[in-house]
Amino acid sequence: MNLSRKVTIDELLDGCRRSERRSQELLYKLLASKMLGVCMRYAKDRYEAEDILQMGFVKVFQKVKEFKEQGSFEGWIRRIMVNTAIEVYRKNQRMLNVVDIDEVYDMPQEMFDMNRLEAKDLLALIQHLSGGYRMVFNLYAIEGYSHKEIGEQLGITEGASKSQLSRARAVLKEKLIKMEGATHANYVG
Amino acid sequence: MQTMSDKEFDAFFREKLDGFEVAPSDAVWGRIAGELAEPAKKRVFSPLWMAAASVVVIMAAGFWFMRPVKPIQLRAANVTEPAPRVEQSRPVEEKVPADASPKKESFLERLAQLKVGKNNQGRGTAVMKEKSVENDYVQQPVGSPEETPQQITVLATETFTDIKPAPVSGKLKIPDHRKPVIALAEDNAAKEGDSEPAERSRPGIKTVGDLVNFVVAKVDKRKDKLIEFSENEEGTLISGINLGVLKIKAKNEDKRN
Repeated sequence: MNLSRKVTIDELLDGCRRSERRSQELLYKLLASKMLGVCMRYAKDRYEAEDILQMGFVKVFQKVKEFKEQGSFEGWIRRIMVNTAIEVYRKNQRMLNVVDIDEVYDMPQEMFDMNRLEAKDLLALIQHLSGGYRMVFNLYAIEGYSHKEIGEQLGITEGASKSQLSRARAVLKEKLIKMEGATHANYVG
Repeated sequence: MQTMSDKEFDAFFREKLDGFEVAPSDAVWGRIAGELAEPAKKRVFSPLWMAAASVVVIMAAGFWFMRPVKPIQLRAANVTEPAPRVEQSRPVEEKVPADASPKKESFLERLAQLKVGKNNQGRGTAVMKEKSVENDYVQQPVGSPEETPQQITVLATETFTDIKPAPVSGKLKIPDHRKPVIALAEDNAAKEGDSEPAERSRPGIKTVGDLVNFVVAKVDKRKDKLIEFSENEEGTLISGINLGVLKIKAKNEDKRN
């Protein structure tokens, strides 16, 4: 299954290199849901996530000739999505002030009345983080970037990345406790 | 929860979210395809091009407003034109100093153009009449010694009433001479047309009306300006409005045109 899919993506890669609209559309259909899942973590809502997805795929099709086959095509596309998300975040940051830490703690609790934690609940938690925390936590905890890389990507110091990560974790933990109470504590262990 | 390490905590989120998929709305592919189809269109309206265009517009506006020097020089050349023609038309007044006549004419010219109210027009002609009378008094001492012997001889033969018209008609003739002069000045003004705004702004900007006239004259090169102010005893008044379709001018100016 995994192998056959990889072959398909590689076949589409050739078509995309020739700028064939059909191959582009098939590649999009194949990866859009997965990539939107990535974009959702970086965006504050679904609309922003779809904007990032759109921009990311346009970049993929425009830059596909630069893809050097180091690593998988899917991984390359995913990196483009993440980079696009970072771009959008930095662009927004120039226009908006960073949300205060206090504001993060004061965030109202909403829609966390599920017995079992699911991906979309965790996603909601991440999406409710302030921009900087969300970026650092996503890049470090989920994407596996180093603090040095994060600092370079976001234009902050390595130390700032570290402190933002620990604050992001603290906010997430606090919310998890408030949300699920004992049930969640048992579930997590 | 408290026992959970940061690494475990991160791993928990990563495992939960790694395979997370959300189907995008159908519109997204259409937007991507649209963006891929016409990349040129996006470039045309890019902020960089808009910035470049705005710089060009600002520079063009800058050059436009830097122009006032030339029109004023041209105007200065035109002022002297009516003067010789005026002098030719009345050889009688040779005794009037050559320097004085053009000054007077340009003053009258300006009066005729600038004054708007009926009263002012009347005042303008009144001033002229006074001047003509003054000129006559100046001239009379020159002519009177020659005329008086004639008048005396004529008195003997002809009736008194016949004599009287002679000096009176002489007096009247000068205003008659002057009327064409005014007409000439006005004709010139009408012909100049474009230089009219420059004339108006020339006496100096003393009031808000003058300032507006000056600015409007720079921008609006039509004969009838978008808005036109003029001075009279009551202060600054709007003497003309031209909105293309709608034209309003003070009565006095309508007569002239």
